[in-house]
Amino acid sequence: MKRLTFLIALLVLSSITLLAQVREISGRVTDADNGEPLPGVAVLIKGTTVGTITNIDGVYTLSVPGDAQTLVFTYVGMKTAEENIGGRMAIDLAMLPDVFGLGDIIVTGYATQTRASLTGSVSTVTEDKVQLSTAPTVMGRIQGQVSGVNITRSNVPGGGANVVIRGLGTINDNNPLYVIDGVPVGAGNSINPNDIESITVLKDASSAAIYGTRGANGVIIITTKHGRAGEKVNINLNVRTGITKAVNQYDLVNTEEYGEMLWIQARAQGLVPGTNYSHPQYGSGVTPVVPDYILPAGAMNGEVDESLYSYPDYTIYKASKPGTNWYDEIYRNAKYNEVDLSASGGTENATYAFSGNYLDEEGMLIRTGFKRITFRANTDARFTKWMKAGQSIQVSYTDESGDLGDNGEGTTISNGYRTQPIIPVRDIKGNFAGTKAPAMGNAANPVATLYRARNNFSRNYRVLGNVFAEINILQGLSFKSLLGYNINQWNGKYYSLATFEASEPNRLDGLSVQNSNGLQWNWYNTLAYVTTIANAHHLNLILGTEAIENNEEWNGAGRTQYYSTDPKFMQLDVGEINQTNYGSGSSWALFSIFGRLNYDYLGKYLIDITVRRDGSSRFGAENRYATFPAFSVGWALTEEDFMAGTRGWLDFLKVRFGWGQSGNDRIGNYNIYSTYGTDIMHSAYDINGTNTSSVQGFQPRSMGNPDVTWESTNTTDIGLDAIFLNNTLNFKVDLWRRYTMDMLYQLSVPQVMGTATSPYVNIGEMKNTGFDVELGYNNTALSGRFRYGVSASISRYHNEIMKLSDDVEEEIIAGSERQINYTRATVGTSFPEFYGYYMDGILQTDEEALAAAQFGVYTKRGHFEFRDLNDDDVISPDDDMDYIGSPHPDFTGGLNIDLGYGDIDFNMFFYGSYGNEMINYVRRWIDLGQFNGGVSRRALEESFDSPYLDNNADATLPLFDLADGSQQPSTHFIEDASFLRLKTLRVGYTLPQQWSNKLTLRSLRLYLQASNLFTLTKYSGLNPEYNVYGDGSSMGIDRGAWPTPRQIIVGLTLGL
Amino acid sequence: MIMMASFMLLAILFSCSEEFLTKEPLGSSSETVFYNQKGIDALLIGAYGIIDGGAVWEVSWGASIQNWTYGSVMADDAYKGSELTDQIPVNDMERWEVMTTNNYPADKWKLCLGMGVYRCNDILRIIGLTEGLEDGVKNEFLAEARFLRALYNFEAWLVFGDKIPIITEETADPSAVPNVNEPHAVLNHIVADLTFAAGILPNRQSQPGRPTKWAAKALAARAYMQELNYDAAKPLLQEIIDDGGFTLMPNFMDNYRIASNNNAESIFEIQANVNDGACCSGNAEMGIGLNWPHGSDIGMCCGFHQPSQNLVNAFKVDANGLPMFDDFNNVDLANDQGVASEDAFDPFTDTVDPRLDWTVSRRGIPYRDWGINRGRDWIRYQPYGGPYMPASKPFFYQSERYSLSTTTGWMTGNNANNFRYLRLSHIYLWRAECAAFEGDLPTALNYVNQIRDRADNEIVMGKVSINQLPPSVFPWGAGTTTADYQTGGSVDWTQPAANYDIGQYSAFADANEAMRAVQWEIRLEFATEGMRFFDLRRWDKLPAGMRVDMAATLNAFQLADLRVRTVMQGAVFNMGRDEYQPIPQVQMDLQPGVLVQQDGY
Repeated sequence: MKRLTFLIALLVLSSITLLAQVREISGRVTDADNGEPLPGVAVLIKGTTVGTITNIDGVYTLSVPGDAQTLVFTYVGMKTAEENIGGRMAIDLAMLPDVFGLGDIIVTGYATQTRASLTGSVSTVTEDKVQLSTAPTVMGRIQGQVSGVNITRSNVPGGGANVVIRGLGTINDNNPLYVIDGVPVGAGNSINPNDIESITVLKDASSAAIYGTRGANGVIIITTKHGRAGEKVNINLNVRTGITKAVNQYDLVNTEEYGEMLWIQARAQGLVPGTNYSHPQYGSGVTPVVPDYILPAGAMNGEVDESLYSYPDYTIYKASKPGTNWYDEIYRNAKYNEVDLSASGGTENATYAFSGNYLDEEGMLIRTGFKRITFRANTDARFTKWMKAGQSIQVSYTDESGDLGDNGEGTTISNGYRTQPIIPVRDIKGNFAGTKAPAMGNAANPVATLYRARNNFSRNYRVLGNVFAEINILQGLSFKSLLGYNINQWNGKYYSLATFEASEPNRLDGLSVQNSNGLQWNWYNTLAYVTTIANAHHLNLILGTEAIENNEEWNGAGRTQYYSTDPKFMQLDVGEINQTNYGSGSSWALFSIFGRLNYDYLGKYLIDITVRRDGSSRFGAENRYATFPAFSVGWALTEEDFMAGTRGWLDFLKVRFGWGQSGNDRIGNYNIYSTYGTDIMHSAYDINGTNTSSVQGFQPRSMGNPDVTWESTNTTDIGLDAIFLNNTLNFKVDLWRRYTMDMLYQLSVPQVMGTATSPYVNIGEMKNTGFDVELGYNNTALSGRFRYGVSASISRYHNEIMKLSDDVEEEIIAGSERQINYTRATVGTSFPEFYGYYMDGILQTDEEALAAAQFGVYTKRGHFEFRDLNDDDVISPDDDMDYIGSPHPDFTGGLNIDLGYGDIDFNMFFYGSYGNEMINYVRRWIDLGQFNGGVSRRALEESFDSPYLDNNADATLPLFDLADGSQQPSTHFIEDASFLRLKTLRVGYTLPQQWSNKLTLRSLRLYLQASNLFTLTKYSGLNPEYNVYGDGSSMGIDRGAWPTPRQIIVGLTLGL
Repeated sequence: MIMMASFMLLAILFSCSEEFLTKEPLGSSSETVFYNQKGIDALLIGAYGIIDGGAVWEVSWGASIQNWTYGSVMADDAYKGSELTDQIPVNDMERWEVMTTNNYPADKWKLCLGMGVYRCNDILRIIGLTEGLEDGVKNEFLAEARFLRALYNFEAWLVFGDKIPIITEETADPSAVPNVNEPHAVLNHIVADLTFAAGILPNRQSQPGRPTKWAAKALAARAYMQELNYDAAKPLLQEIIDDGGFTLMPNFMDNYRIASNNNAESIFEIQANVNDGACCSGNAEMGIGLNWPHGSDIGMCCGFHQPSQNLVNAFKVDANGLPMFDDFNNVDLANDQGVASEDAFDPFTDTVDPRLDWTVSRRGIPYRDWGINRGRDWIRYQPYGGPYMPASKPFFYQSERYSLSTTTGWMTGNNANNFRYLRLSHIYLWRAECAAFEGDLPTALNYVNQIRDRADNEIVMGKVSINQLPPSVFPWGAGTTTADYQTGGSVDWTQPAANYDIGQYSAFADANEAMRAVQWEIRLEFATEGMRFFDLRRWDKLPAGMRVDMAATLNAFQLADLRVRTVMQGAVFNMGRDEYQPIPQVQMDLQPGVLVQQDGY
């Protein structure tokens, strides 16, 4: 924002006006709060672009034509002021703070607007809110801060965030478009969040349509910090350090209880321990006996000759008698360290902002971590009165290390619950122990997994930036040309070391490397014309073109069997067998013409019209171009005379209406082409009978659809912005409706038509409705000593599929875990919903079981009773499964409470979600005994027929007999995952100015920050927040995601 | 104004540049590049490429050409194995409670019809569009494509019966082709392709992966056998025996060793290979990728397809070394179910057919060169999966590890052992079946006895004299040379591992007795090779006296199996439904009014 103020100021300055009767006006601008001078205030002659800016002392001098009547003063964070010139030669001004930023310059597509003049649905996040969180990614940091934007974070070190704006507009890619300093690329985890000056979210089509085919999912515009003209050098050192720790884990049984559980299981399966049941470890008695050794299986002290130990063929595992708590073994107090140094400033003709950042974030799981180093330089210079240029560049290096698998049954979090407690971490000689011991299931020792992956890395080198030039052609008419670039080089190295302790061991040490690189450039040219007609009609017109091209290449290779596992030795060259490699690339291009007209009459009646015409390489020549129109209108009622009576309590009121169309082109790059491809797995054959090689062939790969075109979304938005009570209370509400047409759907083609990727066709329709509310109250008491503020955002969306294909019965079936599907979507449902049986309790008696609808042989005493929806007394998937739950929240929201007293400041930030459900898939493992892994305490104590139950009517789980039927998708697995989380609690202390001055510091601030201090939820898994996984069709299945850790941070901010 | 002009110029420049907006996919080709000899051969390789079920990430283990689920687990040959909660869809299959949504049959449908038949038809279509091919080359292409089409149709036919759509390269809209056919229509279609192929394909191929005319004839004969069309099968079988130039390998096990892939007995093998750069040895037989010994010393994924007690009992022989047709399953051969590896266990001393210990690995008996089977510790979860290791035939030698089995990660069992899909022993026993049916007793006797004679040539050696294997040494009894066999003298490698005997039939009293002997021989010789269920199904249609009552056989198996495990409690095989797999529900939904479900589903 600051930068843009500056740009406008410069633009104004460079206008050449030669008018008669020029006189000089000068003055000094100060902050009304403290009387300090304000440098960099733009001073313009109203209705023109003629103006200047104040210098370091807040002083300005401006040549004014004789007919000029009014001066307009604008400054970020201050209310825009107008002063009548009259006959004055000196005009001083004390500017009032603008609490809700009506005069703020908001970055919108290719242009800026003041907040007061916005007619589209736009939300912004300012620097201070970005700083509230320590999430490594920009988007992770603004979770809960913007209404209408749902963000779910991954908790792996360096973990990203999934962002959805106003519901799911499509069954395809729902990610918004990101634009960083004019470059349309995502932030990922390589942008230093401390460099962010502001984030603008364009939520409706009337604001996003300027991005045409890419705007349908909303646009997030990220602007980085620039220096300000006339600003003294401003050096900031920001240091923070702290501890991250996971605070919750599954409640699993210990070694002895595990034996009990096995005996309960045997009885449940109709066996009689002591007679016809025997377990390799716990013996064959009437009660289980914990052995002293588990390898050799079930051996007792004295029976094992430990001298025979030989790794890896004859290893010896002692039983872990108290039981290994695998989470205690893999969780740790992880360190968090961040150092950020920045310098910015400017003269009247040039500004600069430099920064360097180092982040070292250890993961909450041992031997995982994320490091980031970034450097940024943003510089702008005015060469002549009519030309200026600038550039922005960030160089970053990120390094994610260790095993960072998340939310899957093979990850270390999942292996933590899948590994039995009787297994020790290490064997008698200190090598890892594992499921090689009989009857231990097939999980991987999570400590060993993390240890062996300690040298795995995924490193990204990124250079992102732009150069631009801006020329003033005539008064009010300027031309800007910007070339943006984003260069990525990514390298990954993954070791797969032998796992001899596993029941399904990998016996060969392997190494694979992966590389990719990409270059995207965009070049846009805009002509902007600003004018005021008759002092009443403000007109702002932009015309532009933009070209974007993206090229990526990737390759990878692997080998196995290495003489040594020393990472210095383990290079591809020395791998002996299993040579594999792969590589390919992709590219796309876009060319666009766009135009935008902003008009207002006396600031009362506002109109915004946008048109963009895009041509994309992703579509066939016939459908290559499309035009996206949008308009929005606003009415600032408080500017009307008839509202004069309300001025005592109503400071500002604006109603808005917008309609627009925008597109989504992210449907893959090559849908128009029918292709054949090679594939070592699916089209190669050892036709020569060599045993060790195959000949490559070709297979049909994709069925193209040359008619394919983009999805287009119509959005209607009605909004209201209001400020009340002497600028203390603000309120913003938007009611919206998005309707997506031509939604691309990959037609389910009968397999007899071939199994090549079936073509996408523009056939589906999706509807989203909802509202966003933002509310804020700020005030002071005790003559300004005590400051308090509350801001809240609440969002709701309702998503409904209106059409998938010409077949109304068409369904998207997804979310398959171990051959069972949990999510599904069809016309009339949200995308997606949970699908399965209604579980109506546990059958208590044989009689009850006989009377119940029969589900094969499953229906018996102690098993679930499923609801017979069609009353045919038979439970069948076709007739009795239904949509039984939804992962979509009714509401999400955030609440900030800011308090300050004197030098102390305090912030609490709550984030919550209400009404969303989750499939707790982990319960299939720990409650129902899938795969002989760890078992929950609940299974021990609350399974039907458990000796811990006084009464089977209290059982919450079925017989622990591992029956398939219990594992069928049903309401049993659905849990309410609503939650309210205190995400941040922060206390800060700023050294009083006079003290810091003594230390020759500009400012010094210390703060203590805790995140995730508590979470209120009924959800029984580790993390109710993790609600999205992979593509949207599998939303809401918890496979054991990294929990949200608690973090305590101490920070120091030092200004020079 | 100059700026404005150049701005407009730029706009025009870019908007005219269609080239800028044309981005073609990288690393793939359009159809037209295949209109030549090289191209068609590449597409053909692609059609062979899925024969090994190597498409595991697109289709699952239900697509295996070894049909271990449909042919073996659903019959009395084997159990699902592994654990109750692993591969849940197979639980329903083992218990004959398959639902229309089961993904195993769906994968078979997909591989056979969606990938196999489709690719072959695509090739046939492209051959038709290709100009300038030499006749010889063109005919060879046509023949191979039609052979493969017949093979994929045949595999689908085995599983789904006549309820499959007949689709050719001339079918305008495959999705409109119903799966209701006139009697014999599917068979006739398969045979027509094979007859065409047999007329062109050579006597021998230089590349062993390609079919010969004999492969086409053998597959046609097997197809006829499914409908008990002995009249049509017999001449084909006889021709293969007389003119094919195939000879039985000296040893039974030669059909299950990597070292003797593509041997003199082989008519058509599914080529398996490793170390070619495919993930997880995906071009080995991925369809059986779960069926390797799990846990403990050998430790591979995932312990599926464990032979049944019924199958083991079937190897019992009487004093003459002949099968015990009627009472083989009355009493179980002693097994170590429930016996800890550390506890004493004496393997049975009953006399058995020597093929037992090549087919089934059991406690106390050497397992190839992997050592002496340690019993329960080598089983993934014995209370569920029973006392026997996963079917042994597709396994490999420890000495071949890292060279002919190079897979890393969890799927380490995949190896270069070819599946001998059609071989002379099949031909002999099918020929014997034809002979038995028509009362040609000497011919039946001849071929059955030749097979039995060969089975006696090589037996598992290594008599273990202790009944508690020392827990302390691994590999105990493993190795490839005598010196490797560190057993402290408790294994006598010069002695047979068990009491083996296999006798010759002196004569058959009548056709019925001959048929029974042939059927028994087919079961034992090809046990766990995914044929048993389909054999029971066709023998159920034989006239009384020769007929094997499929339902009675399987339900008797179910009942007796409760002596070993509880898994089959309450399971019932219902003839009229369970002998065919359901048409996948998803395909039914996608082709409403076109596809018809099987009876009973």
